[in-house]
Amino acid sequence: MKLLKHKKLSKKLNLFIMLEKGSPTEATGIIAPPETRYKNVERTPSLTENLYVKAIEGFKVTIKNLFQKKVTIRYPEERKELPKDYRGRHYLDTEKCVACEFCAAACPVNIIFIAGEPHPEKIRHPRIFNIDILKCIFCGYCVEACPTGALQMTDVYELYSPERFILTIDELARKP
Amino acid sequence: MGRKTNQEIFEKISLICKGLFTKSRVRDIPEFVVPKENIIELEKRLKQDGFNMILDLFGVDFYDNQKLKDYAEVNSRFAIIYHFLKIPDNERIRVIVPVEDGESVPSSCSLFIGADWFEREVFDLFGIKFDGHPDLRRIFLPEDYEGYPLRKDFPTKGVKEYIGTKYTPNFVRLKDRNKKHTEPLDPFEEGSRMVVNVGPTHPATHGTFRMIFELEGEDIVGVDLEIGYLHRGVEKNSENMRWEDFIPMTDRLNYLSAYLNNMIYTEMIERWCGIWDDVPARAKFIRVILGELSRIADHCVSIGTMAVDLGALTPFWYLFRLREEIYTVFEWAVGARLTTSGTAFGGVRKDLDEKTINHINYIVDKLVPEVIRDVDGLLTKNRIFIDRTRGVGKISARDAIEWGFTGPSLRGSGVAWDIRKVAPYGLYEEFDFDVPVATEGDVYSRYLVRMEEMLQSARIVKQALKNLPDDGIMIKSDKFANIPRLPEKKYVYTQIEPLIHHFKGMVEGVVPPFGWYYFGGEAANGELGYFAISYGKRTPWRIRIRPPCFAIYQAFRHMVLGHKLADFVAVLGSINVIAGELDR
Repeated sequence: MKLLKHKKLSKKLNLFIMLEKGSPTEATGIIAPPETRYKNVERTPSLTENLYVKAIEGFKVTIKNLFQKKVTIRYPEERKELPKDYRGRHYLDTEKCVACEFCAAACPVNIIFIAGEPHPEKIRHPRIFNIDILKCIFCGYCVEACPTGALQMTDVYELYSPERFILTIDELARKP
Repeated sequence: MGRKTNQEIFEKISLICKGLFTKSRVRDIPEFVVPKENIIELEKRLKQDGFNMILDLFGVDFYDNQKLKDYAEVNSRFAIIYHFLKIPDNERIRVIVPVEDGESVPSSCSLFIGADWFEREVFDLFGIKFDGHPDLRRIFLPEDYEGYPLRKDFPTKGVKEYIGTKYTPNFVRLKDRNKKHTEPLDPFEEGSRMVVNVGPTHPATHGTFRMIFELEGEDIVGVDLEIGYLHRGVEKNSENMRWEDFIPMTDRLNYLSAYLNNMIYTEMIERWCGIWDDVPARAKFIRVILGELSRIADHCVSIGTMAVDLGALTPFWYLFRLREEIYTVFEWAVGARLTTSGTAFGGVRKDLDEKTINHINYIVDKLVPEVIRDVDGLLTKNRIFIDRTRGVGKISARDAIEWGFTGPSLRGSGVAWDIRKVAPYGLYEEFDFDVPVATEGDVYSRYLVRMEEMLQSARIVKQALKNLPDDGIMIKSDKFANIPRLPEKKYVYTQIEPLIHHFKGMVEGVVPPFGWYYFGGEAANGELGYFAISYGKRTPWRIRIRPPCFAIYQAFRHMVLGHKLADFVAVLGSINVIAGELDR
């Protein structure tokens, strides 16, 4: 019954489209731009499907998967390997930083605050360097902007803190 | 049959709509400036000619910028811009309707029903009224909101804080049962209606939006949708951002396939600035590879969560395993999982290494067919799944086009419409793939289309990996003043000249040519388009995002009417509404 119904329905619909659109590209009722090569994936259920046979066959899939290798890992004991240039928490090499404020200018969300002070060797040195990590979108534009390679991103993605989320210069300079 | 050029379309439309427009020209597509009295007549003639979709409808505030007004050839403060599209011929035109403050425009809803929510959006954000609109309410912002945010004189920070939203539902009802119900509602009385609220946080709404259903027994007889819970004002924020800073913002539109959003936005700027041909082929290939992978990931979520909502949990695990592997690729190829920001103007930000390429090969050769086979075995031939999805949420090809459907939802209705084929962008011309179509237009058809599309995407990735060229990932040419080339970091650290280039590039940045440009590409849900106006400064005057979900979700009301309450989750899952893209 169900089978017949589907077939009838689709025939009706095709006819409807043909009447509505004037000239379909094919009798299937598919409207297609002239050069587009398409693939009709429409299907009508077979008799065995209507008798729930195929639904029970689905258990074959689950049973097969039951005996396969596990794909999950036991976090936090096991961890995924991450690339070196993963965009995680920032790290600031204070010896290289010249407080040029390029990172602050490049930041799309304006969360970097820098105040510089004179320095005998590199002219300028950051006195204050704050990143509001809660607002950070981890786009990495600050790292791209840095002309000395002082500001980098690490593969630390577990960012938690009991009270403060504004990373100061001391916290940023700590190697992960 | 050859495709018409812009000039031919322009001449044809000029002839058809003679006397209706005041100014006309050909830019990226033909443009017509039409006084608001003539817009309905123009639409009638366009409809006769075969234009069947309002692709986009939005407002622009020129404020006091005389140069932009001269460019648009209008004299008023506002303009409403219509994009009309003809399927399947892919003819596009732009119509500009000048409007002064306080004036109203005739509504297009009687001719193009898909203009419904787009007009509500313009009303919400610009305060321009549409005469004859059936349901002109605010759409993103609360009813009692003061001011219109996208006007240039509205402060970005807003005027005051709003706690709690005021919302009065206005139901779309089944036509034959449109009689008024009597208050109060008694759910136990024969023939009475019950109102059921779903969302904003409900397991079936994968995002935050609210649906209010009117029920007679279990049948849905009235629907109202409230959206805007995730409205972050991306378009308003973009006006205070540099052009390149907008790339991370595009991640947050359709966050399930962020790379496609990046890719389309970057390509738009590159084509606009005229540097598209100089972008190295390797960068283009990497974009296609990662873009198609993120399309697979998007469809994984779409199918997986729809199956979960219908009570099938197992396919979800298999699909999310595939998605996890794809995100591992993104970790290595981009440096982030979800919010990729992987492209830059002139190329991509990071190269694929040997390990990543091997992993991608493993995914497209082995994992995708395996997972699809498993999910296929569980769902496609499953009578229980077929019963829940076949004939549910049905929409005919004509209706789908009229509502503004694009992407898999339109292909599920029997229209082989794919921008990768009809107007090839990126490098899609070079790859061999088919456009999957299903004819029934119901949830099951859309499911079949998405399943096949994952295989086709894997096919594209396979071809791209085989032919991956080796000519760098960033644009090399120096001749483009408006896209500064940032030199490689190792030279910046050691040599003075690259350092100067670096400084110059950082300070000057990207400035596209004065004017506007539209570019749309095939995102995972349909046509994602960006329309941007540059006024010669480092920040855009306006960026308009054409979200595919927005047009599709407005038809959701008509797709669920008459079905049972439990069926709405199937329909919602099949059209894959992403709140980030819907609300922007």
